[in-house]
Amino acid sequence: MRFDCESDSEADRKVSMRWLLLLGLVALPACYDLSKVETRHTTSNVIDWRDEVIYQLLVDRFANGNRANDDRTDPTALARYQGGDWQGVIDHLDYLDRLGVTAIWISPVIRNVDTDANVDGYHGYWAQDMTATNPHMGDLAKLRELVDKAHARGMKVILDIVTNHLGQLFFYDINGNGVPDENISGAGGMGSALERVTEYDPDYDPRGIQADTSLGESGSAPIRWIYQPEIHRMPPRPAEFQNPDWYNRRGRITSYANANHQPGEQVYKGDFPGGLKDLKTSHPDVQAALARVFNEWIDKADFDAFRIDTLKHVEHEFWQEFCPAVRKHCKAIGKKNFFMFGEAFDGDDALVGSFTGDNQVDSAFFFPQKFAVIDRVIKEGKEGTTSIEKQFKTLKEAYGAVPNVDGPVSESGQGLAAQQLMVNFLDNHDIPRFLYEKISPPPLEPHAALHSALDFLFTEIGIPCVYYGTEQQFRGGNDPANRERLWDSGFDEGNPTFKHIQRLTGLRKNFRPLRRGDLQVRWATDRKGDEVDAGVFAFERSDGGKSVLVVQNFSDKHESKTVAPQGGRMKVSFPPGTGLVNVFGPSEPLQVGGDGTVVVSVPPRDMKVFVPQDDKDGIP
Amino acid sequence: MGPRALALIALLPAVALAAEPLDDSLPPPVADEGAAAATPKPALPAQSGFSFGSYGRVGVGIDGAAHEGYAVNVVSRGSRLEKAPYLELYLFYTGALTDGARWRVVVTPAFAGDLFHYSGSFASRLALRNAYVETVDLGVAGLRLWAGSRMYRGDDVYLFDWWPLDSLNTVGGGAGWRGGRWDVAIHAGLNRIDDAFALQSVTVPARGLGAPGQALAVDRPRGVASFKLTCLLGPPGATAGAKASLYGEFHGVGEGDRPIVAQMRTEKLPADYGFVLGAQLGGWTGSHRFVNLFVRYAGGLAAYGEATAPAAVDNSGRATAARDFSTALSLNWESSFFGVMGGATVRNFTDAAPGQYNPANYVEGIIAARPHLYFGRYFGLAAELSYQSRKYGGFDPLLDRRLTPQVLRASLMPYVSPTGTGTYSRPQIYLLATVSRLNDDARVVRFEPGDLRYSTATVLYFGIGAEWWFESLYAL
Repeated sequence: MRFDCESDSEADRKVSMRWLLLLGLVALPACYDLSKVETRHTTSNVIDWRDEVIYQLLVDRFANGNRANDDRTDPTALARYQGGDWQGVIDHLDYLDRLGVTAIWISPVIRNVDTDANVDGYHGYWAQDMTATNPHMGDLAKLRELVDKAHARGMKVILDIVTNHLGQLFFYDINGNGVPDENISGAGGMGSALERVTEYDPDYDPRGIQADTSLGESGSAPIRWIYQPEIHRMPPRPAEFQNPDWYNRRGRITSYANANHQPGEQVYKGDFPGGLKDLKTSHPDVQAALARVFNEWIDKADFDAFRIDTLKHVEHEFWQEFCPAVRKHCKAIGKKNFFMFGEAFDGDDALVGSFTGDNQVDSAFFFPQKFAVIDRVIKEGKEGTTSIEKQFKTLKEAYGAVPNVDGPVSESGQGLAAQQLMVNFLDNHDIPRFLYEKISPPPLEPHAALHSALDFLFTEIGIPCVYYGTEQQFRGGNDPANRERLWDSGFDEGNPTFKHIQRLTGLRKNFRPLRRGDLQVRWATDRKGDEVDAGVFAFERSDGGKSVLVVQNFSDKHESKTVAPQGGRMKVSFPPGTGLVNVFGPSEPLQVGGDGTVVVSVPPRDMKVFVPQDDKDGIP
Repeated sequence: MGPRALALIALLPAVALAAEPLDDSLPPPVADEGAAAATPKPALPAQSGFSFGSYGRVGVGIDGAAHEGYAVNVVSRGSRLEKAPYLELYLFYTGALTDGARWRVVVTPAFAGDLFHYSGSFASRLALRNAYVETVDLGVAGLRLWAGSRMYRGDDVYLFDWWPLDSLNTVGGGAGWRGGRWDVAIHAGLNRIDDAFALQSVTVPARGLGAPGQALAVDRPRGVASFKLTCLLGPPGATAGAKASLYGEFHGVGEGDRPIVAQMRTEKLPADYGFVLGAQLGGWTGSHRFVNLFVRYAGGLAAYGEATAPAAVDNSGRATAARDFSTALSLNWESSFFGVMGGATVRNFTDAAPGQYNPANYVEGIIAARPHLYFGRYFGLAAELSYQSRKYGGFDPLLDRRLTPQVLRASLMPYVSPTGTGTYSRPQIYLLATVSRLNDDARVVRFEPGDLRYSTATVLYFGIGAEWWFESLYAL
């Protein structure tokens, strides 16, 4: 018998009616309509990933939509749960829409170890049960509701996943006593150095962590799963991940040294700091199981992309198995344009680029650009803008140039390569916020440099990704200070940076070349700091015969213009005599000279975007 | 047409089917934890003196694998057959005045928990369920006045051990008047449940040397006011008739500041409110034949009951959105050789937490019948058949789907009752054999994975027990 009026089958309906007649006098108080979230139909929602504006949010920090799931929250300590949840994201989709966001990257959704060493798993990177949702955020119905409501307004949802490790779910029983020990030995004096040994998180040993007692070593240390149901620190799920052979068991990484532009052995095989146990991702069974687990999440909640954590900590061979398996699955269920981009926290283009293309991920977080351009040029002014030009050249050389089979495609169905799909960012949850490190000096507004960096982010080639709170001028330092509660801002849409991002998303939306166009650098300078015309940089984005000229000045000090010391002027692709107009700021006319050059002068920390007069209302 | 409109239409035929009587001639009182009684109400003694009454049940059983027997209900109020032992003692003194007025003092110790001969533990849980004084006809005929700690209850659905209306536990007072075909009562009281929602203290340093002290930080007693108006629809004293009742409650708690000492801050607890609106239609035709139909609609704080803190609050910290909409049916029919008790309820509960797909929301229902065959004056055979189901409003976090637990039950109860035939005759000594069939969702809901009962789809219960009541105190 069923008491709803949404019975799943005709048979159910008949039974329901019979019972209702028997009940006779007793009313049917109400029914629920869950049909929308009970069954899933995966959908294709993306036309061209280059059109998207990604907004990264930590669910626990974005908005608290349901106090009923505020378990173990502590608003006085950012290393603890704060109470944000999927309902909160649902409640603020309008806010994101108005900001101009088209894709939201949400922090991991799976069940985590609740707390470890007095820090909570609010971020989602301490997986325990890869099949279950994190109850602090909601349940699967709520997650589906979020994805459905985002899709209904054309917004995509990106799932953050981790394949490198799970949470700290076991310890190495080095001394064989069955309990996790943490010992400090030595007196700290000459010849008696203090030494700390922890069975939770011992230092890397290439042989694998060895059992060891006062009598010496005795072979590989057994691992023991921890049973702490009160904090959900339990053996992993699915249960197949409880096989000790599925872990490298070599202990914590102590050296991140790369070799020949590739991660070192420890990076691949060591436990991630915090005792996060490294999966043996070279094992075919592990590869298949991880693909199965995360493909199920696509089925369950209709995600549009994966953001993949700790990309460089996992072997190329894994990605060459995992990524095609995901693409094959998406193809089988009719989901087109599924996108996978990874996070390799490294400044080495060759290393990061080596994980793109070749049947691996479709794209990567552009960390090398973050270090070489965002920090060194835009934030610090310690390098000339020729460094940006150099970075763009490296992009062409080091990153995947050939689209992955069944990977992302353009609107016309042409495969898109990593070089076109790099995910650009200023900051994220693992590094200090831009404003923590850079406040512009007077007479500029304190956020002038941030706006200048955002200008670059939204006009350069690739997909812009904004870290939540940027629009509210958050300025937290390293983790967890950079993981503030967004609701403390009151979701202020009058914040100057919110408005600035609104302008930029609008600009990007109106002018297709800024989304999909090729990029040609038109002006760069070696001058830096207080030197004349330092900080100026110009490029064109061109698509379908239409071009947009972007000229920026990253100097805090002075106006700069596109003129060389010897008098050389900036050559552009527009025909001589073309009348251009600035569409980002005061409508400033500019005419291309007879020699095909222009001189553009830009105030400090400002940007001008020129298009031909005929295109001033937009290039669709 | 919405479900609530359907509900109202479904109510209409019930009006014709009568209700439980107001007089003293029909089924004897029924009581339980929270005590209580269905009508009729025995008359007070005409003379002064002590009196004693009791409700109790004691039983024991095993399942099909020789584990301790257990109940398998998946709804809020399921079958009462396998309920744990419970005992109430009614101690009261009645004073009769010369003008016909009376007064009495009522004290009700109640016992629950382990039985010594079962657990070997020399301990029991004792509660004082009643401690009040009441007057009747003092100065005004039909006037009743009372004050003290009182359970305040009306008619029940016996098979589910449930009082849909006027089931209150407060310390306070009230007044009532009964005359002609009218009976009206009001009651107001307080409770301050032992829960952080209502009461919190913080440890503070000693003023000088010595142990730290306690400072009261949250003190939010709940005020509960209720009224009930009953109209007898037939001629008073007739063997057949009907009655209609309207019922309401108002609940309120004040605001507070909850200290979170470890975080050196306080959290605002806003004032909150709740209400209950209810109605009862009943009729009887004499000879222990009656039917009662109840409708109850509760909101806010009151949706969780008067002695329970809200399980969740909305983002303003209130339980405003919580709703509990229930309907219930209770009936009894008897002849010289056969009797049957019946009951059915449907309940729609909506939690205060926001969200369309809240797993704390549910719709549930149960229907049950207990026919009896009498073999002579003292012996009988009863059987109970029931079906219950609940549909949750959100997904189960383990299975990631919405669960719909369902249980089909059948019981046989050979019994002996020294007070004669009748479905309500007590005491009753009985043997009990029950088979319950659980669907997969019912197993998941009832037990955690790993529980030795988790995989049992057919649950057996073989037991022996007794139930009694006499001289109920709910009789003024």
